[in-house]
Amino acid sequence: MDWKILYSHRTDEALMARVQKGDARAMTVLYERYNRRLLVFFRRMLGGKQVAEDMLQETFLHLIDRAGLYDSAKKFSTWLFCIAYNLCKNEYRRRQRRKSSATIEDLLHSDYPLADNLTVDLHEEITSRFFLEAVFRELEKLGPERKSLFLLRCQQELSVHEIAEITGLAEGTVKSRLFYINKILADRLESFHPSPHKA
Amino acid sequence: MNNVKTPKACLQIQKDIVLGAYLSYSTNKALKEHLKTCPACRAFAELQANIKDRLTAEQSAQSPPERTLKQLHLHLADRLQERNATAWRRLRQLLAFRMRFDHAMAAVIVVICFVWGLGRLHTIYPPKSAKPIKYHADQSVIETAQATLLLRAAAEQKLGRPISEDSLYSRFTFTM
Repeated sequence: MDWKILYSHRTDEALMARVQKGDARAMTVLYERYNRRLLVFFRRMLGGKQVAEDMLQETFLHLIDRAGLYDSAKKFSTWLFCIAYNLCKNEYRRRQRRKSSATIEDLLHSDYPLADNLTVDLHEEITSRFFLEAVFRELEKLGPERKSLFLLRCQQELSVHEIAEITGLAEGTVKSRLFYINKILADRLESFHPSPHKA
Repeated sequence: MNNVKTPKACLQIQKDIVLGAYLSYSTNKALKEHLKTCPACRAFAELQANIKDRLTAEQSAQSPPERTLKQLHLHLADRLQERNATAWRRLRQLLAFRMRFDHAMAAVIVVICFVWGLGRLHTIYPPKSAKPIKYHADQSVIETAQATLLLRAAAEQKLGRPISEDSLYSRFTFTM
């Protein structure tokens, strides 16, 4: 479609400015740019396909409802992940109240699909899944806040500055926590990479 | 956590690996040199790369639900309609002051009467501070107040009773 080509060259911020005026096409392009990133973030943060899909929808509903609050001088991805991060925090609070927090077992036996592409080596796929589950098993132990820091950095590849803005932490704190998380992961996932520094 | 001893140099290198995007060219070069000789840091870097690669692959395997976009379009249309309706409602409120129609009409009539009455009052009793208007007639300047006085005196003399200014001008004209 012509409009898709036209809109695809625009920046997120320019598209968001159009969403503020009620442009549905601009919103479609933004949704297509970010839906997978948000979906995988929510699935790893909250565990479960249905919850992640609901949260994805919730994030974009917030985006529409609060479009007027968006400051175009700020980076769009930071603002969007700020909404997503706050939704995750609310969900964790809600779960704590109900005492039905997702357990590690929930995550391990979550309805996470294998890759759609059937040509992918099945052994590699299973190894990958096993490895990631081990990573997230360790992250679960560190708590939701540290898990979110890890996901924003390693999964979403956001800068430390952006993560600091999203979480409301100081940049130095984000850096030190990220290092701490990765160090713990490296120590605990030794079975994947044995460390020669072990005493 | 296991009892792991990591040399200080390696700790710094591992920090650099975690915050890889912020390294200068020289630091990056030094890091690569270190990785060639240090298996522990190499293992750490490989683990980091492995996690990132698998997380990226996981992202591309996602299939977002189709219904969500349709629902978002509907929501956006609703919000737009609501916004327009709100703007129209505000304008109506601004114009109507939330008054009933008969009250509004009564208020309009009162205002018209007041303005008309004020005009009449001003005509009958002109303010004393008002300066007389001057006009030119046959190269001589005549002040209207003076002309009015002359005309009124002449008219009252003719009628034999006092006369209002309105009646004065409707019945008599001043000619030079």
